[in-house]
Amino acid sequence: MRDALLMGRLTASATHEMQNILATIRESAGLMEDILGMSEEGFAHAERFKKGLKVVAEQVERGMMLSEQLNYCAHAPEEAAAGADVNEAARALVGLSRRDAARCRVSLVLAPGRSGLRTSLRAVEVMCLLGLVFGLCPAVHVA
Amino acid sequence: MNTKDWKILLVDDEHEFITTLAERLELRGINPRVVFDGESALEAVAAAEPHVMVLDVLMPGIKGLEVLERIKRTNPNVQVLLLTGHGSTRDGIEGMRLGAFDYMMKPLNIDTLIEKMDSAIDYANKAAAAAKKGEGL
Repeated sequence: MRDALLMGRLTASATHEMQNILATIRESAGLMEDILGMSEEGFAHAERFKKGLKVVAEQVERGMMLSEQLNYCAHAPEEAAAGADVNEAARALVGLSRRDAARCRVSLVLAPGRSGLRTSLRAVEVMCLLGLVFGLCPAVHVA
Repeated sequence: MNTKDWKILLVDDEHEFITTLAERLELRGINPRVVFDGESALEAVAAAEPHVMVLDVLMPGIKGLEVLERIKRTNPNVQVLLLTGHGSTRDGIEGMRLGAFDYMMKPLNIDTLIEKMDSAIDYANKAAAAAKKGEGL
């Protein structure tokens, strides 16, 4: 348990840094877009630049989503007085398991569930249970 | 009030992020001051009170929420917009309890940021007018 909390703390700190990096990339891309907007007429490759900046923005969004889910995992071993939100745990698990599932030709899709469904379990336990149900983490045992 | 007259203070230890944000605001006619830590933020507010302070929550040294608490004691008219990460929404909510005008998550949408600055200044002006009216009664 102490291991999980330590790993969680390190991961939470790293995801915060990742978010700062992504935010900086986003602002820098935004600045380029601003400057491009001011000099578009005199710039022959404006459209190619715009396309490139759109890709940067999309990838930043993708990175943010992953970072958010990873941050959720980082805090998942912690005890919370209000318990864990089942939907949030499922969203993080599905988001981070997509690549693994795709490798087994399984497509993971999260359908909107009943919001506010909570349990007294810790989030990590909810994720483990869901993972076991879907065969995502066969080596993990819930204490 | 014209955006040129807005007094904005940006506070974040992420140099590249905050200076780029400042540059983007300048392109939109807003000229913010930038500082990189909580200590400098307190000094900057004491030297010249801004209308709005955009304040990162997680910084080394004096944390954003502590800066907010101290500013609200000494300069309650300063409207504070907190910047949080996606894992720090609890800090944003706590900040609102401590008197922040609002909080935003990184990465920012610059148009939303400017809208929030505008609302914060509008709110401060209305609060000041109401206080003045109260004094006159």
